[in-house]
Amino acid sequence: MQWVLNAILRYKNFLLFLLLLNFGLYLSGSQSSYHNSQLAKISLAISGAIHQPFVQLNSYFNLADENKRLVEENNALKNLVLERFNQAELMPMESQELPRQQYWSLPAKIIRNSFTQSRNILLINKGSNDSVVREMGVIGPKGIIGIVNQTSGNYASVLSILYRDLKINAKFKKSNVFGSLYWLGENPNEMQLEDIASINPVQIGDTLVTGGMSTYFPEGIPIGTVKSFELPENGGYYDIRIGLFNNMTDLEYVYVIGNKNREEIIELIERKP
Amino acid sequence: MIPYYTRFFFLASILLILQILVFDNIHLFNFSNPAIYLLIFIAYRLDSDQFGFIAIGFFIGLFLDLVTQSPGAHSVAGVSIAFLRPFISRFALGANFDQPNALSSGSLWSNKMAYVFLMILIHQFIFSLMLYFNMAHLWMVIKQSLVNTFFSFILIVASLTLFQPKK
Repeated sequence: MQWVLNAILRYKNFLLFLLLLNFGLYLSGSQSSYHNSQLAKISLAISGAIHQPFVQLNSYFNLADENKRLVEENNALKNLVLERFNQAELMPMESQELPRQQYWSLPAKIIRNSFTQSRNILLINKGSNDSVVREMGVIGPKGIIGIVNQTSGNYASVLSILYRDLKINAKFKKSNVFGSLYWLGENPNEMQLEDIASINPVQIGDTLVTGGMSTYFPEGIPIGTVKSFELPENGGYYDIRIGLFNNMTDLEYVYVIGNKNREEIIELIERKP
Repeated sequence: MIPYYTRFFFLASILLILQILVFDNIHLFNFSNPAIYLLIFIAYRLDSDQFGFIAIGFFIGLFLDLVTQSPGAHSVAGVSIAFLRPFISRFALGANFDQPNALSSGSLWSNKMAYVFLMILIHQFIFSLMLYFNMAHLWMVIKQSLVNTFFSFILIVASLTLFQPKK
């Protein structure tokens, strides 16, 4: 027995190292369940409380740029309203009733942006107190940003689209051909589109929008344009690089998108035959 | 005279705050963050008890993981560099490897630089490896480690030179 104690004391540094290393690896290896755990909630509360005051201070210095961006966004929305208005004038009165609104949005401020890691997580200043729940979509002024991952009372963490394991359903605006969009982990302004069969024509500059095949995003939210593409020699599927509309390195305000029918859709999907 | 561990605690707190609020927001080439907080691991007394130092390394890493939402990467890199430090100092500083003030006096400039460089490079390599956790991205891991090491090295050497105790 004595020799066991002696060995433990002799190699105590190495044993402590192994123990803590394993704990670190456990945290790192269980990415998905980790984020569901209480630890993630504590992390969110600490991180939010640390970053919030400094973000408020910092935002004063960006007011001019932010104003310019808001004017541009306002202009785009105004054009959209006018377009709808013109269409409505052509319709008979009885068909002008608005359809029941399926999606609602909530403005939020990014208090911590991240794009230099392989799995980037953003923090926003809206949480469960503001009706934000997991798996809500988050969009920016020019397109999609990510999906809500975890919430605390006043904050939420968002899996950025620059998150290596995340795949997003997307389609070409002109042809409605669907594919999966994911990040390669290198350039924060560029993503990869797969599952587009070679029989579909693709051109540089084609616009990509959300496919609406999930409950995260409504259909038709802009994503980006085709930057380059290749058709592998053995044919089959294109290798397409997409340039994003949103500058993911310079985000300040975003919108959380809620789907009123989300529970109903999920229940229907999970219902056993 | 303020006790060493109180001074160390204040210095570590300042460096961590600087790292989180300033250096984590400096995105060089869109993928690199200089790591000023490594000064804590580099400048901590070389003759200290390693058992405690490994625990300190882990908790600093865990704190950064919680704040930056990077599960595990900082903890693993922190605990590994704390464990490997005696080997690195023995290799780089030679006979002075366990002198408490080996970084401010007593060692050759080249030895000190080798020690600082190796500490940063090994930490950054483990950290990037943990972030990507995939050999398919080995080139990205190497690129990120080298760029991070280069800028962190300049920052840390500049800090060490500026705040060197007067002889």
